[in-house]
Amino acid sequence: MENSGNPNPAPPSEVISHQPGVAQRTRPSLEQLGGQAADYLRRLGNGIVGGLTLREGPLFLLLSVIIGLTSGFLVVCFHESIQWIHLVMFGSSLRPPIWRLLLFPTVSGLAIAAAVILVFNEVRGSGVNQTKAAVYIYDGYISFRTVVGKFLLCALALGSGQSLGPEDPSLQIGAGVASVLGRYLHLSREKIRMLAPVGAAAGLAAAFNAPISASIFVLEEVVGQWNAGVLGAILLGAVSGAVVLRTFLGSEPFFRFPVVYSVHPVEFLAYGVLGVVGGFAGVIFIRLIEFLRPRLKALPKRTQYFQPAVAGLMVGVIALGFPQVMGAGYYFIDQATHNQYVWKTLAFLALFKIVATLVSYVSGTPGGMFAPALFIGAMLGGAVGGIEHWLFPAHTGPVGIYALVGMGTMFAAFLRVPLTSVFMVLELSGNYAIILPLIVANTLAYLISRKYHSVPLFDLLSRQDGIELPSIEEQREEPELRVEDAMRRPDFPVLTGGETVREALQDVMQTDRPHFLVNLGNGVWALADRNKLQEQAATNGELALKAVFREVPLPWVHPDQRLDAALRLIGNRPLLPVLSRSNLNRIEGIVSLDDILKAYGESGHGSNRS
Amino acid sequence: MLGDRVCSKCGQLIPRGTAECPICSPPRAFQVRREIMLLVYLGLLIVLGTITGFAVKAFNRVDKRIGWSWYTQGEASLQRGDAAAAVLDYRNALYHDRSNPSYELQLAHALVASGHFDEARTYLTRLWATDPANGPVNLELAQLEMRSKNVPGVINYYHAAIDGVWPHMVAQGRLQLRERLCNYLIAQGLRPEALAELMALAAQTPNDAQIQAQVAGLFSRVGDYDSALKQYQESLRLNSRLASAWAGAGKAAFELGDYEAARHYLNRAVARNPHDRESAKLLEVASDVIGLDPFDRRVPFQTRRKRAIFDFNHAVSGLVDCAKTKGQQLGAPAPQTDLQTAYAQAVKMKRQMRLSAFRRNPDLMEGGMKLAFQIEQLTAKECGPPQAIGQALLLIANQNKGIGQ
Repeated sequence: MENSGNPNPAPPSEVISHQPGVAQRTRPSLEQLGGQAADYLRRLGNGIVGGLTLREGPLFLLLSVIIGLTSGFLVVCFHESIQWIHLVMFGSSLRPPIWRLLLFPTVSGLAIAAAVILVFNEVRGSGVNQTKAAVYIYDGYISFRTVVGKFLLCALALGSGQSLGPEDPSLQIGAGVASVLGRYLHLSREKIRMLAPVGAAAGLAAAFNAPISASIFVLEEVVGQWNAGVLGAILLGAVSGAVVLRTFLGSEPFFRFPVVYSVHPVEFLAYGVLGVVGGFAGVIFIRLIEFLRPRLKALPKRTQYFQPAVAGLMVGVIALGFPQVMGAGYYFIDQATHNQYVWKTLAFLALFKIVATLVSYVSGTPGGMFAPALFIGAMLGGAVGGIEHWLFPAHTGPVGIYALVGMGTMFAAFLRVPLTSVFMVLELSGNYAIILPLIVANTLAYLISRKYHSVPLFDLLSRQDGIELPSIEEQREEPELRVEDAMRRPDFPVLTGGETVREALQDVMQTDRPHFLVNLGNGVWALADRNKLQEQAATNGELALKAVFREVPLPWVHPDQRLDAALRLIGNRPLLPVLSRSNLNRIEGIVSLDDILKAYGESGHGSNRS
Repeated sequence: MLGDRVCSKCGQLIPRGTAECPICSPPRAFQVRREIMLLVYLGLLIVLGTITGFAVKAFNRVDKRIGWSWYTQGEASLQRGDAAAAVLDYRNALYHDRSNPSYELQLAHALVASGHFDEARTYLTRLWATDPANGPVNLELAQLEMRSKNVPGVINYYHAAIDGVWPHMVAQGRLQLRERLCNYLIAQGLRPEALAELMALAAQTPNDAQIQAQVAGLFSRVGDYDSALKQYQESLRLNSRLASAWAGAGKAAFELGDYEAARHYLNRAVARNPHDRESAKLLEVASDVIGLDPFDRRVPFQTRRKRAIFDFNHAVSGLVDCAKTKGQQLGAPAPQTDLQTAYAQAVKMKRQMRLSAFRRNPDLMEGGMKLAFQIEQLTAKECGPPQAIGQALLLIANQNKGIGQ
């Protein structure tokens, strides 16, 4: 597709010599065949669809569903591909033979590295950031090659046991599909830009089987705003994607958790401890990535052919003792929640998963961090729960619930998406009894992560790649300036429409201000100019102000409105009245362009990273 | 993805390796009406969906087959008694077929067998949450509760198991479960709860002689012989050839003290099953009770007096034998032990125990029998349970507790 606009023009498709005795014939080019097919389709289509024309608005919603379905199909295929590859490489046993554990991840690593460097260069890196880049930099453009590359290489990487997850690639596959479809349907640039998050949500929803969390994640991390139009489309896409997944792979959640009906109040302390542990684990994990990734990238290019292979070998070696660390590890999360492991094993699994994921990720192997984060969180949670159960058996619930909450804490601390972390756990478990401990643990983990590592993971990765994407966390926490932050009391008398020009002039003599506000009644305001008043007084001083200024009503703002609204309205006017919402004839203050700029300057909006 | 050229139309960067702006210039072949394009795409989507469906089906088939092979391997391991290997096999089976509750249940079963109770409980609790009426799951949970000594939990899960859904369960199976619950309740000393279970069961028992006899057996086990006898009679009404029912009815009647009826039932039981030693023994005792009771008002006085003399003499000879085995001298001048005291009293009484003396002193028979019963009880206490006649005498004593008072 990228080569569709080949700069080298194709030769004429069919050259038939008319010279007698010469039957020279060349084959028609692909482009011409395409053109003929397009003409045929055009004629056929016009006949069939007749007067049916879709405008962009309704088409956008329809496309959200179509993209959701497409992403769902692709993610299901992606999921099955990973399973097939894993089955072929490691056999059906949970404890594969040693030679397979060492050979296949290494050889696959070599193949993946070669493919990434030679064919699918865009596949390397975080799918979330690439989708954000598409939205913010490339007008929603994600190449079809990226979609294909993500699908093939991530399936091979995950199937061969690299410690990465399928959610991030699924997200990008969905976004890529949306982008390609939007381009082929000649949608406007704005719509294409909006479609990428819809596809991302659909892909993530299908990968997680959790449409609400996927939508919230995309809004929280990719879009960064809760725009109603985008929200509806994202939800439609996510639900469609999840429906496809459930149709093909069943509606059972990926993780099955023990039943819990209530949490003992004393246990909140235990969940607090879990939040603290999860928070520090998240910080350590981010710091390790921050330290290792740029160093490996800085190595000579030829080493990049071997980095995924070395990572694969290391994962294989770890798998000799702990085969659970390979791949996404959903099944083992399930086992951990069913008390299969003692707390020491769980702690070791968390530790080795961090190591395995770290080497897989920093080596440039394509794949996501969602599943590993969940795995590490579940194991840490299980370990903390196990210790607490050992110390206080009477006051501790099932270890599986700790694993569940642990998943949320790791999500909050490592990926820094606090809202998604809560919704995801609720959606995955379908259990609302744990919402309070979950919020306690996640909040603690999130705050610790922020305290000890100011840059969120996705921002860190994009900055390491030299791309300055908007930090959604920073945006979210940026103080929002309102009109009340810039307004001041009027330092001049406020005139009324009933006053005569002469009376008004007497009033304004007390001040040297050049402009004054005139209340014309019924919420209509005007701006009076000292010079104009003086001119009017010279010709007809007894004329009422409402007769003089009724032609030019002044826009106004309210104190609670955003300051940029005032900026848009003020234009070249010297000031705007700030009116009470309950009484449009009562003035709360005035705001001028200087006031607005001063407020922006004082809030620190001028610097890039405050 | 960073581009190095700018599109002249839209001013956007053109990605590297792409000749034309991907936004402004879609491929010529696709420059058709949007609606047509959408229709074509929908067609492709259907194709993609079909392919996905086939792929998923194919993989599921393979995965389920692998899961099944691990499952059968697990079953074999479990039958061999190798629970640890079975656990591994079932884990592998579940890995390939996660949604199969049978695998999960068997894994829980193997986990219990290998001593991993906590893990088994987690699996079972989750299975229970999804299907609370599942009989096997409730039964496994009941057995786990037994280990935790949580009696209300055991009763609840057993009830759920008895009333639950079983894949191939017949009434017999539910009865066995009830029987196991009753056994548990009896072992825990919870007789009223056990009786309540049986009452409920009796009300639901089908018209099957075998099952009726089993229910009657359970009543016997909790000591409700009256209900047991009625249930046996019902069973015999349905099938008079059921030897176990005759034997059970005989035993129930025996325990109720109706030795005539017991002899009737036990006679039939022994006739139908000559190898039934217990019934034969009970029959012997019952016959002895009937034949040796001196207080049976249906027999003539003369016969009753003869029985009293026989019973007394039998008790004294039993006392002598017991003293011999204990190495005690019965003729000692100053009696020291209970046996010696009893023997001294017996010798004194024996002189009066004659038919002619009975005629002169009608109360003599009661006094003699009272001493005979005391001797028999003392002998049983000192030298263990007596033989058939001795047992019969004890039962007669039991039936005539008011004598001499």
